[in-house]
This record gives sequence, C-alpha cells and structure tokens, in this order.
Amino acid sequence: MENDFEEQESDQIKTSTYSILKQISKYIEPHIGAFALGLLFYIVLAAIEVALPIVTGKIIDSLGVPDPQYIAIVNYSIIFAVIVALNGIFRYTGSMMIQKAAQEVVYDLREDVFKKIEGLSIGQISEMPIGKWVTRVTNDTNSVLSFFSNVLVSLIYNCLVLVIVIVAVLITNLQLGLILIAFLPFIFVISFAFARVSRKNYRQVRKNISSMNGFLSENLSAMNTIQIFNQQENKKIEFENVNLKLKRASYKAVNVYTVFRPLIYLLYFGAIFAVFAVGLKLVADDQMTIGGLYSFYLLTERFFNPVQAIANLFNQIQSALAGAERVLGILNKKTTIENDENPVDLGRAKGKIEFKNVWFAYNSEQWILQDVSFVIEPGETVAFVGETGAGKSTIIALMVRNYDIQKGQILIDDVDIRKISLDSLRKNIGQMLQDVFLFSGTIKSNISLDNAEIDDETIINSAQYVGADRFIEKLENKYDQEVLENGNNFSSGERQLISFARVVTYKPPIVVLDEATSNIDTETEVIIQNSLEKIKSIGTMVMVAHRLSTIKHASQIYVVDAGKIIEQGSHQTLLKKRGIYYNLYRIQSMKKKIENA
Amino acid sequence: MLFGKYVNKFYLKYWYHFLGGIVFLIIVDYAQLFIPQFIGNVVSIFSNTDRASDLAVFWTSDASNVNSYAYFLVSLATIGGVVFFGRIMWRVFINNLGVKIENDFRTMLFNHALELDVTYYNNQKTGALMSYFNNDLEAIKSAFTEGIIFLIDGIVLGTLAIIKLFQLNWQLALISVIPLVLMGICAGLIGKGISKRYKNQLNAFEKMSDFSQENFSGISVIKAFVREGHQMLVFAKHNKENKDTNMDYLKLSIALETVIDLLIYTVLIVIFLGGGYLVIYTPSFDIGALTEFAGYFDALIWPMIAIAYLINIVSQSYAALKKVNEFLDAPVTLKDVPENVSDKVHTITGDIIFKDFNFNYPDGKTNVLSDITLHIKAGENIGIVGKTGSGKSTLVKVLLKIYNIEDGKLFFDGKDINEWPAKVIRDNIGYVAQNAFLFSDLVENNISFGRPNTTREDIVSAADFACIDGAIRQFKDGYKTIVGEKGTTLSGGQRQRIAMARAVIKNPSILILDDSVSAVDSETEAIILNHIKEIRKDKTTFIVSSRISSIQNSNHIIVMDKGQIIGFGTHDELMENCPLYKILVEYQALEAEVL
Repeated sequence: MENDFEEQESDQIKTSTYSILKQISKYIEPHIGAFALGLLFYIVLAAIEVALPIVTGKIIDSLGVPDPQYIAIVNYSIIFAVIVALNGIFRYTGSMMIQKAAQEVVYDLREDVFKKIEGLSIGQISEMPIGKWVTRVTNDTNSVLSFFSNVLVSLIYNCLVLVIVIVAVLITNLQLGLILIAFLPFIFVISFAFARVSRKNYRQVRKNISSMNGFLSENLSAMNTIQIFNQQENKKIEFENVNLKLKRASYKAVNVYTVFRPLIYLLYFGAIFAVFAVGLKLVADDQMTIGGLYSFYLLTERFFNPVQAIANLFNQIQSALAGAERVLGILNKKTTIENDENPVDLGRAKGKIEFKNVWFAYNSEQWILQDVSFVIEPGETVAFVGETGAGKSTIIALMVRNYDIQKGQILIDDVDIRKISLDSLRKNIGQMLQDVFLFSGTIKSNISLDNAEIDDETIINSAQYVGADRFIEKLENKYDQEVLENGNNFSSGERQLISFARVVTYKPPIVVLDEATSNIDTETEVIIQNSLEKIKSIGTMVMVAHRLSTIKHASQIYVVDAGKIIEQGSHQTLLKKRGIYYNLYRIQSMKKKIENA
Repeated sequence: MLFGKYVNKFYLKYWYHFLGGIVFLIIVDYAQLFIPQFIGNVVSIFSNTDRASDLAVFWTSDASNVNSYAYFLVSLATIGGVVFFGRIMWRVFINNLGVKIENDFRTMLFNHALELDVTYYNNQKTGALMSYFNNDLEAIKSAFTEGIIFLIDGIVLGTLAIIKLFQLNWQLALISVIPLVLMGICAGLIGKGISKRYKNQLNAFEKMSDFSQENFSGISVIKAFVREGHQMLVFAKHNKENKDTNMDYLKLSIALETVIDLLIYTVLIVIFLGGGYLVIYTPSFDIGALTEFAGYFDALIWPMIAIAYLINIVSQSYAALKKVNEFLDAPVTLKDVPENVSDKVHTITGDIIFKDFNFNYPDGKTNVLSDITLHIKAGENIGIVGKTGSGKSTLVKVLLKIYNIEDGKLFFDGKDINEWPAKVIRDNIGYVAQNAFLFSDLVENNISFGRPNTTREDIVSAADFACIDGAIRQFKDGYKTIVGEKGTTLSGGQRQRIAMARAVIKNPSILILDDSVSAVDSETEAIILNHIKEIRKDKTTFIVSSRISSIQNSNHIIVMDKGQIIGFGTHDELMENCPLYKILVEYQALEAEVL
C-alpha cells in the first residue's frame, strides 16, 4: 500500500470532542441496545473480578476453624464454580455483543464514507492524493472502530473495577483499605506520567522512522544516480546518521519501559508488603481473618491493573478521535456537482450538443474557456485541435459535467445539462479518455466494467467491432486474460482499443474521444483508425485529436487556442485559410514523414 | 532466538547482552517463586487452630528466626528488591540488544542495497524493498527481544514452578499441571486457527483497501460509465467480508480467552477441593501449603502462555528472515575489477572505441544496439540524433559501466571497459539524464553531489556553466533552498540545469547530456552550448537530443535508427547523405517558422 510509509497524520483535534461524538452517535443509535446490554454485562464482570478473591479468602477461613468441614469447602467451591461459569458466559456474550455492534457501526460508517467520496466530483477527488482517500475509508474508520470496540469499553470497565475494588477493600477492612488507597495517587501519577512520556518518545521514534523511510525511498529509487556519481561511501555515512538518530530515539523509548515497569512492580510489591505488615497485626488482634487478609492480597493486584489500563487508554482516545474527525470531515463535505431537484431523464438522446457562450475556470483567476459557442448536430463528427493546454480536453470534461461552468450554457438535445440527471447525461455520452484506466480483473471485466447485463457475446462483438479481437485472440486466455494493476501488461494501443470496446458495448448516441498523445505502433494505428471510422457511425462523435489520421474523420474542425475557438470549418476550407490549422497540418505531416522515414 | 547466516554474528558481537539478559531473567524467575512460600508460611502460622505458641515465636524481635514477623518482612523486602533490580537489569540488556541488532541489521541491508546494480533495481518495486527495512526487520528483532524473554520465562519459570508444585504434593500437582499443559497445547492449536483467521482478516482489509485505491484511481472511468452504483455494491461486499472475517477472528480469540480463563479457574477449584481435602485429612498439608500451592500454580500460567507466543514469534521471524536473506543473497551481477593505486591517478582522456558493438538490456530479447563501430577521439564534441526508441540514449548509457559488456567491444583510451574499475570510469564521466533525479536537499548539495567538500566558487561556476546561477539566486534561500520531492517545485528546465551543474562540477573528461536540455528554452540552450564549446574545448562531450539546434555545430553527429548508426559526419555532410537527418532539419525549420 502506498501510504504505508507516509508520515503519521497528526493527532491534533480541531473539532470539539462533543461535536465529534454527537455526529458519530447517529451511527450508534441502531445498536444502542447491544452496547447497553454489553456494558451491563461488563458491570457484572467487574463485580465478579472482586468476588473471586473474596470467596478464596472464605475457603481459607473455613479450613482454619478448629473442626473444618469438607462440605463447607465443597459449598464454596460450588459458589466459586458458579461465579466462574457466570464470568465465562458474561465475558463471552458481553464482548461479542459489543464487538459485533462496533463492527456494524464501522461497517455503516465506512459504507457512508465510500459512498460520499464516490459521489464527489472529479475535481474534488483530485484535490487530495488517492492514498489519503483510501486512508479515510480504511484506517481512519478503523480507529473509530477501536474507539467503540476497545477504548470506550475498557475505559468504563476498568473504572468500574477500580471503584468496586476500592469499595470491597474498604468494606473488608477500613484501615487496611485506606493503606491500599494511599498507593492510588502514586500509581496514577506514575502511570499517567509514563503514558505521556512514552507517547512523546514513540512519536519521536515514529518521526525518525518516517524520516528514515523518506531517506530510503528516495535513495533506493535514486540508486542509479548514486552509483553513477560514485557516492556509495557518502550515502553509507548519511544512512548511518539517519539510523543513529533512530537508534537514539529507540533507546530513549525502550528505556523508559526499562524503568517504568519495574517501578510499578516495586509499588505493587510495596503495597503487598504494607498489606502484610499491617494486616498480620490486625489478624493477630482478631480484627480480620487470615482468609480476609489473603483475599486482600489477591485484590491488590486487581487494584493496580485498572489504573495502568486507564492511563494507556487516554492515549488511544486521542488518536481515535483524530481518526473520527478526519472521517467526519469527508462526510460533511458538500458535493460540488449534484443533480437538479427535478432532474430530467433524456432517455436515449438524439445527440445534439450546443455550447452557448461558455466561460469556465478551474480556479477563479484563470479562464480556461472564454466565450466558447458551437453547435454539433446529431450524427455529426467533429474534431477539436490545438496545442496542449488550449482547453480542448476541458470542453469534453464539461460536456459530461465533470465540472460546472461559470457562465453560459451547455445543452444536449436543447436541454441544459444541469437539468439533466447525471446518470442520464453520462449514459448518453460514451467517453474514450486520454489516459485509459484498466482495472485489475480480466479483459472481459474491463470491457463490460462488471456489468452483469452485458453478456459474453456482446463483449466479443464489441471487441470485434473495434478490432480489439486481433490482439485478444492472441492472448493465452483470450477474453479471460488477467489484467494486472493499472493494466501494466498491455500496450497503450491495446488499452485504447479496450476503451473503445467499452464504449461500443453501450452504443451511446454521443461518443467523445480524447486522443492519447503517446506513440502507437503503425499496425495498431491502422486498427484504431478503422475502428474510429466505424464508431463515428454510432451517433454524434466529438474528438480531441492529435493525429492527422484521426482529424480526417471529422466533417467539422474547431481550432482551439488559449480557451477560444479561433478557426472552424472543414479540413479543406481550413487548409485554404492558411492559418493555424494549416501550420498544425504541416507539422503533423512532417512528423508522419519522420515516423515513416 | 533466531539462527541464520546473517544473524549468528550477533550472538558473538553482543554476547554480554545475551548473557546478562538471560542471567537476570533467571534470577527474577527464581526469586519471585519465594513469595508463595513466604506467604504460605505466614498463613500456616496464623491459621493453625492452636496458634498461640506459634504466634509467640512470630512476634519475637529475633529476625533470625525463620518463623518470625521480622524475618518474614525482611525476606519479603529482599525478594522485592532483587526482583525489582533484576527486572530493570534484564530490560537494560534485552531492550537495548533489540535496538542494537535492529540498527546493525538495517545498516547491513542498506550497505548491500548500495552494492546492487541497476539490473536488480529495474525489477524491484521500492515499496517491496522498504518492507525489508520495516516490517521484516521488526519481526526479526522481536525474536531477540520477546523471543528471549518468552523462552526463558517459559522454560525456567515453568520448570521451577512445576518442580515446586510436585514437591508440595505430587498428586495435587499432577491433577493441576496436566490441565495446564493441555491448555498450553490447546492455546497453541487454537492459536494457529486464530492466526489463520487473523491473516484472513488482514487479507480482507487489504482487498478492501486495494479496491478503494483502484476505484479512486479509476474514478473518471467509473463516472464516465455511470458505474458508481455497481462500485458501491462491490465495496459493500468487501466491507462485509472485512466485517465478517473480523468477527470470525474475534469469535475465536474471545472464545479462546474465555476458555483459558475457565480452565484456569476450574483447576483452581480442583486445587481447592483436593487441597481442602488434604488440609482436613492429612496433617502434613496445611492451609499454608494450600496457598503456597495456589501461588505456584498462578506463577505457572504465564510460562504456558509465553511458550504459545514464542512459537508464533519464532515462526514469524523465520519467515521474515527468509525474505531478508533472499535480498542479502541477491548477487551483484556487474563484473568489475578492483581498483588499484595506479588507477586513482589515471584519468581517462576521453578516447572511446566501439567495435562491432551489440547490446540488449538484461531482460530484453532483441538488440537495442547492433553493429556499432565508432571511434571518438578525446576532446571531440559529438551530437546524437534519432527518433524515439532508436537507441541513441542507450549508446551513451553503456559508457557508464552499469551493464555488463562483452570483452573486446568497448574501449576507453585503448583499454577494454572490462579492465577499468567502474569507479574510475564513472569518476571520469559526467552524466545528465533527461529526467535527472534531484535529492530532497539544498541546491548547493545537489550540485556538489559528486564532489562533496567543494568550494562555493566551484558550485557557483558550475551553476554558471549550466545557466542556472541567476535562477538559484532568485530562490528564497538562494543556494540554501531545498529542492527535490519535498522542497521547492522546480520547472523541468531548472531541474535539468541543476542536474547539469551537478555533472560539470566534476570537470569530467567525458560529459554526457542525455536529452537533458529538452526543457530548456532555446536562447539559454545556445548559451550552454557556447559554454561547452569554450570551457570544454579539450574534453569529450556527447549531446543526445531530438533538437537539431542542440547538435548541429558538433564536430561529428551520429544519426541513429533502429539501434544502428545510419549517419556519421558533420552537419553539412549529413545534409548531403542522410535523408532522415535532412527531414529532421526541415521539421525543425518548419517548427521554428510556425510556432
């Protein structure tokens, strides 16, 4: 995964904890019963934690009487067994209930996050690297999960245990109980201080790991440069330094544990020492039984664990909330391209396209299109030509409403596209994009885009129609040939043919082509041109063209320059004009000549 | 504990860490088993029905009496102190051992990475390499930290506790140890099932993650074909799979925890029942013995769990070590000769001969270059042109000795390339690639990359040569500006010129500009070409370019097509006898006219 080595995102929370929890609570509501019941079980569990040491003490006491009865042992053992059985049942059902509910919450949340992102406009999605969107869907929702399945429950449980233990020791013996409670502030202070220091130290370690990974990813990919410049020795030293910094940070982090854990042990041991030192005197004075003292001893351990757990949990709350905040940031985003309130369904469009004084800018300052107007009649084939950055591809992006325009109107079949439902609009326009994206799967799944309504025959027909069958038939598994991630195992020409086949499968009334600039071998080029000749008969065809051979299919050519249409007409009329098109034509012819030389 | 050819040396190097860690672990294990005994002793004194005489002894101030209060407190405190100290000490040894091994290992990995040649890196994803330095190393380290702790605790503490249990009462020991051993085996077996389910869960999570990744990357296609609904359905499937595998895993692991808990408590009940019986009916086994027994039993729980963990850790770290070994075993394929003293003073003059030279890339099938025969004299300025894929770039790359070349095909100063150490050749060549890589570092460090410790003047004059000095001075921090991936964004032309400065600062006998002024405007290019002509007039320079203007004034121009030289001569000669060259010139003239 590409974001594996990304720097840890900051855990700083800007939104108030209350508003985060309030929004998340919407997801908990349907499962509130399970959470409540699960928590109730945990309360019982916390009580059981305390009951066991006490029963143990009772058993000892019942053995310590002058004439011990075995039946008493049996009775206590039965009580013990019942408690143990209850413990098992409550523990299992309680955890399962809460875990299941938490999983459901996160399932719903994740579903909503994905849907939300999927509905954002292309422009919005391109604002952030893909890896971060993925993190929102996967890891950030996971930290919300851990909050509900682990942090919250543990926190409540441990607080309960602590309270019940305190009550139990005070009831058993006030004096001894108070001695034990005197240790509490020390455990708290040390545990919290340690949690703080440790968090800080580990953040330092993570920072160093990420700078080491930064160094590695840069230098491992630049190994050629390093070797050509004979810099291996210097890089060795540089790495030693990076590594040394990490080593120092790690030393610091692990050695805090070296002291902390034994220190807590020492406190625990001190408590046991105090319990016995004082307790034995109390037993001698008959203020408590030896069994009572023994259960006190057992309770001491259950006194220490919750405090440490609580201190650790506070660390996790921070990162869980930070994850929740990022997820909510997505859910609260407003989609920029949305359906009209009463969207029109075009059905199958006739294929007329009209731009009326269209002005467009990606960001407010720079107009990409300025006052562009044209009408394309149904069935017509037109080409947009011009230099890179002139705004040709933008025209196509606007037609399918990847972006909304600032001024003017775009109409399909005389209906403003903002009134047409997005689905209807895009279903009527088949897009063959410049950068052909192939999904991992098979050739088949890439042509049909996993649409179950498209049968194998249609897929094969489409491939034959565009001439893609020629290379597909040569593949080992033909239409079932595996397509690797990003379609890396296919050439750019082959990828284009697959994208043609995708469109042909639907035979939409409007077809748009944003031609790739990359070089294609002559043989594939011929196939592509033949299939374009066929595709243009499907309906209206709009092309952003680079190659002369492609432009030649068009009956009408628009020359775009700096966001304006500056020339228009047929190939012949434009050539006669001896303007920009004429020059472009000469350059293209010369390029062709070089290619063929 | 982990063994293998790349890790065994750590036992020798850090023997004192191993020794210290193990000794203190054993001390702690040994010492803490005294506690149940002391407490048992007190309980037995106090629970004795006619305890008056015992108590009288107990409250004496004679600390040397084993059954006295003072003795009890002193010995409890002593054990506490020893355990406290021991726990600090083993952590000092073991925790720091982990850090050291990790650090050493990482250095070893990186040093090996520096040795591997281009051929290796071409077939590797950086992400995969990085995981050796992260996850795999982490797994290997844990074998030396947790691995040792769990091993010692499992064996030493486990054995000692079992011995003590049997010494107290072998029948009771038998009925309580057997279930515990069974529990260990059970935990081990179920643990396998759990780790399988955990792996399933990770897989499901990864699948969901990959699907999202691909979905967002291909969002334009999805929107174009109105497949959002379908994608959401597929995502829901992955999401559900993730949830279900998670629940599967949780079910089993919560069940295991519960069962272990139940088992331990059940054995405890057995101890109460059996122990209670013994207390009542056998005089030698009193209540103190019972609590002592319960204490040892409690101490035995951890070692059983530790051994189950240990098995897991060892198998994971062996898997990681296997992967890392493959990397460390990857051979350096480039054949090189060692440097000797005379080479260091020797500077290649820049006379280069290709003799019936053929070349294909290590993983390629067809020749990229064929039948190249050429003699380039020292000090010549050579231009190379041709279409994309004609092999013009390969022709200069083979000079860098990053690929293996057959003997007797390529010569520097009359000596076969295979007799020159790579270091010497590369020291004498300044190479500028089209997409040169700049490091996330200061501009000045990027320029002085091949010559660290050069003076500021040298850096500036190299920048001057590449016509980038002015631009650098306009950056916010001048030569101290950070560039590269994480720094200031540079234009393509600026990058190319900084890369050029980086090459010329070496004042190499051979300078190669591999299509590396393509993003520089033509006026600046003309100045740079002039610098080459004046400053490098006695040195060999190759200029690979798709622009005729860059090379038309060269001493000789090589025209490449389909891996062969189809023209060699001056501009005027080629205009006469090389049709492709002529068309390229015409094309450029047209471009100049219309654009």
